[in-house]
Amino acid sequence: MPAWLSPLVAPFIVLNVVIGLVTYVTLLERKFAARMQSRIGPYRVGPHGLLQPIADALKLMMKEDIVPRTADRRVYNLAPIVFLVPCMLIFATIPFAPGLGVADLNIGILFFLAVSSMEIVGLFMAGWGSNNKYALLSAMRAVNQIISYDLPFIFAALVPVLLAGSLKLSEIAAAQQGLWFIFYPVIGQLAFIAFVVSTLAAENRVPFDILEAESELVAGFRVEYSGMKFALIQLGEYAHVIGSSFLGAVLFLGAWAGPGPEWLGPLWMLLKAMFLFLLITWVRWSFVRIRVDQILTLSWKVLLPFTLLLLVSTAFVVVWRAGV
Amino acid sequence: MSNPVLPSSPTAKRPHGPAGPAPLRSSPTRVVSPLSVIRAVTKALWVTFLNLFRKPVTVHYPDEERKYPDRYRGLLALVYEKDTGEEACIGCRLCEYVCPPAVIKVEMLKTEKRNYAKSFSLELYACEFCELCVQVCPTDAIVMMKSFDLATADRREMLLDKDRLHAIGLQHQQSWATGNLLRAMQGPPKMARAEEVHAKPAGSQA
Repeated sequence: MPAWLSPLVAPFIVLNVVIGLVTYVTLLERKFAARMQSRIGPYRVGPHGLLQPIADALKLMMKEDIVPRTADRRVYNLAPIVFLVPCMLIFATIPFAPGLGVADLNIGILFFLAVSSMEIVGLFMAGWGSNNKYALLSAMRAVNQIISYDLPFIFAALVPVLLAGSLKLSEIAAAQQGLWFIFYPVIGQLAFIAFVVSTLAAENRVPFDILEAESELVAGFRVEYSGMKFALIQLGEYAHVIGSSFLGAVLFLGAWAGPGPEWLGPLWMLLKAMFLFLLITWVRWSFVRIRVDQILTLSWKVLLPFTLLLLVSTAFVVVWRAGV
Repeated sequence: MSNPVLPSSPTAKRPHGPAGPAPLRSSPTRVVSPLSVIRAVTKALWVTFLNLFRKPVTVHYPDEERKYPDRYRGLLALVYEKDTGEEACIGCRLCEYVCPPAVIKVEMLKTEKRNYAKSFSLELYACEFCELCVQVCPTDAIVMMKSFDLATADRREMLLDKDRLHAIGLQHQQSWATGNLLRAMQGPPKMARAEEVHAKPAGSQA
């Protein structure tokens, strides 16, 4: 293998695994959502609908690619890629097992948080480039919301950083081999709840889905997209959700810690991430959409002071325990 | 200040304070206690969680025949008389008269013993499945079937003639309702009717 090729192998594998995972996670979500509504979900394509994601992908590939006449063509065509790239990049720093990951940066969690909020650029480009009032409204709402919820998201994610004393994701995971941070008395549970709530909001999932509120905005910023561009946007959204689930598993659920031999680590990691994903889906099917002003109130008046206080008190606890 | 709707016009000086436009939406005045929010949240999550373990209600339709209610109003059909095997329809055209969307057309064929329908056509694509034709039928000839397999690629296939209606009658299971059964239900109970007759002396009718 030539020397320049070897650094590309791991990203290539991870990228493909992530795309495959995303494709099948849509099926998982549909099945799970169906069971919550006493339905059975996709069933016809393949045994128990197992080939449904592939059928969906094929269908989307064959669809006509439509660009609205008044759209800003360059922005419109670029937006899905700009949206997708950060959503894929967040998987770069996640350690799936000890030493198994693309890049174990020493500022891993900062990288994750910074890159994951960059999707908003692509989102706004899509909303603006479509030249559609629904898309634009949705993009503006999304910017509004993601800016509001990034701070609580970061503060909640910094609590495990304080507890582990490192920004490196693999070290945070290694610090939980004894006690998962979700079981850390009081602080762990509160931080986990704050993390889940702000993840929901940052991913624009129900009940914070004002940017794609079907009853008001049709489909939000992706209303003008069709075919493969639509598929890319969907791929990015799901990749982002799954990336956040993996982050949650690393930060709170002890990453690869679990019974069994060491090579089962990635499986435990996957199971925990899927558990988090199902948790998010569960919330999605249990609540109604809340109003714009309520979303902002929840962010700025409740979640932000709460997570800030939590972070400060975590710092005190860490210092106090180090002193003892 | 001719037009208060356009405060940005250059002549209009916008005074600060109460004269300005009202705020779009003040923050919600109703204070919700955090405890009630938590209770509502857990309740909502609990409902969906319980649903997760319930049996799905889905019926795999083409593979699995759904169970029809006894009085299902489905496809219309003509039936034969059970004892003689003759066509039950006597061509009396009551169903044609009663049909609200007027989709039934009957021609009577008079014979010595009894009458028949010379032709009987039913435009199923315009039928509203009100069951009135079944209710008026004096010989229980037109009935409804326990089936909703109406789908077709050609609308003309839903213009049913006498033979098609008889074929449908043999093909599916008959619903409970027939004209005589329905009319028996609709009158006042027999006891009440008897009492009514007794209460009125024969001479008071005038």
